[in-house]
Amino acid sequence: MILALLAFLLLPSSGLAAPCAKPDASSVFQSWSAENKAWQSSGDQICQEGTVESKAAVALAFLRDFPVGPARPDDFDTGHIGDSPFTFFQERIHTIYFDPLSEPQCDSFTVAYVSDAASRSLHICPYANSFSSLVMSSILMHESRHVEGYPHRTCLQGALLGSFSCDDSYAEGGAYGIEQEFLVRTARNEGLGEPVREEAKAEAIAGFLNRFNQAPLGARQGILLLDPAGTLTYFDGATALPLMQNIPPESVVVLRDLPALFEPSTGQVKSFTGGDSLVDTPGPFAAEFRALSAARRAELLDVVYGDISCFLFTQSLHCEQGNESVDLDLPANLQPQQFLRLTDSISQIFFIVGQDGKKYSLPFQLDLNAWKASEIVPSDSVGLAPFRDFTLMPDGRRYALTFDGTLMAYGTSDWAPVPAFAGKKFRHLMAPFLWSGRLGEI
Amino acid sequence: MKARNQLGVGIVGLLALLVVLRAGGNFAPPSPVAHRLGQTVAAFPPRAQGPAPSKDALNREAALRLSSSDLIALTSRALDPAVSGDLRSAAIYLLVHADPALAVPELARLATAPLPEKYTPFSLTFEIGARIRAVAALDQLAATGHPAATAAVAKVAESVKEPSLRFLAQLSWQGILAHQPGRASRYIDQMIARGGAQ
Repeated sequence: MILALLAFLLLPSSGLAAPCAKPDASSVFQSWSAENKAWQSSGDQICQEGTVESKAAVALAFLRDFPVGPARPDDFDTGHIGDSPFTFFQERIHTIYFDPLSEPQCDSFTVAYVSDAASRSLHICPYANSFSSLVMSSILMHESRHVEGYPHRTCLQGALLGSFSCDDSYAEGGAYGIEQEFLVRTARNEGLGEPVREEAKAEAIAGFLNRFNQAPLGARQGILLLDPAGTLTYFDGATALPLMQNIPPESVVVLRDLPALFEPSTGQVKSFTGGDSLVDTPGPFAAEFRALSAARRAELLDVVYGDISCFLFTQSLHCEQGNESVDLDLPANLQPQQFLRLTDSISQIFFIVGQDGKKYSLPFQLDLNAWKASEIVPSDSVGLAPFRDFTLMPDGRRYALTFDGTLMAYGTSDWAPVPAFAGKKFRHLMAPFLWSGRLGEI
Repeated sequence: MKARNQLGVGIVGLLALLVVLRAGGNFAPPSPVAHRLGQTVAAFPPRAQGPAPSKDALNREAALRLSSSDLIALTSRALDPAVSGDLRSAAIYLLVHADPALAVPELARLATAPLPEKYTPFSLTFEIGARIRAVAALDQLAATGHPAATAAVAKVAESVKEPSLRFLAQLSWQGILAHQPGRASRYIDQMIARGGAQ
């Protein structure tokens, strides 16, 4: 075992080599202009393993030695960087400073920053040392772009939603775009070792999914609309794309990552996966539905499928979470129609809509065993009286479906019907759903 | 056995991971550690005659020899924000290329590990990228028909909360359900590996 590791460790492969020897370290800066005095003053640190100066030197050497591969321009290699990442960086950054933590702009969460674009000065903070050499290289590329402007934008989707850490699009070639292009080119570069290419690939995907307000491959968070004719349509705010047709009217369609059809007449549960045919939905909740008697299935009105999953029957409610479940007889005064789902990108809250138009809140205690039918009571706090479905999209868009089936969108100050669906009625609205036509072709 | 494995990854393994990122390229690692390890490797039996295997092939070969306890330790390293980024990345590389029968549980552990509560924009994508490598590896193993990997994809797709990881895991799971496994990898390749007209 140990021998295997030892064999592994001596194999040069990554392409990220440390400039451990002084002549090598200085050669990193050989072609650097004389203005780079900051580097010279940090010379001793460059060869000292574990310092941020050493990490930056490795990263810079990686840029310098980046193998020139065949040009493969496409949507994901937009060519902003040119042939040499090192030249791109060098043309934009003339002085590099290593700031101590005591520097006001260099707090414990700042990796690097360009303080003054005119002077083309880059400041690297101690925190940079916690990243891999590849990521450090990509950060150098990122920061160098800021010299030309390209400020960050607020993230409208992804893990950094709401933070000031995105570009609007990859194509515009902002700071994150340059960082991404560099990672893509690293991942594709057959002159580099597999370890660094694999890391670059994953970092690039993480970036594509979280750093841009326009997702790759045309994917966009949209809504799903089920019409009375049984057509399920994806709508991203501009374009409508039919996904499924001829869904039986008695089918209950729910969304949990994928649309799933609960079919009371047959006891089947099927999921849409992007192809032409539906597939059997796996999991215990689907299995439970299949095990229901035909008579019981005939009583089914609606389903929610999430962290808590529930069947709404004509006179009762069955919910489960993990290994726990609860069965409640509905209060006599409640004649249920359906669930009202309030959804956003991470959570789903639901109410029972009565035939009297009232919204009935559920107990929602963590312990399902503590749920009591007496706690299912009309709620005045919903504030969504006209709507049967409502969703808040990750980018702030809001859609709702009225009880007469009209799709509404919230504008700057009020709700209004969505013009693209003027005159159309829908049975159900589900969201958010990240999709594009090209995703379905993969 | 346990003590030996702990030594293997805890000390030698860490050194190994450190040096693999330092060795080669234009800069030789002139450290005493490398010299000592070089002497050890010199004791290896000579290889059969024939074309020299690529460095990547040798790396993979070494990864395949890792034991279950090695992989457990590597996962812990891969998830530890206090460990240097280069070591974490190298640990993930070994996990991805280890014996699938041993690696699948650890890949699932990596993929489903909670993200750190404290993060910065750069560190968050670094953490997500680490987990994406695990999801992609499980997706590829499932595409080869590895049953444990298929079950692991289902678990990951069901349990991860972070939206982009969940999206990739769901793509993988969709592919499995549609009898077209490897969908997450194909999605990734659309952007990275293949390029071409998009």
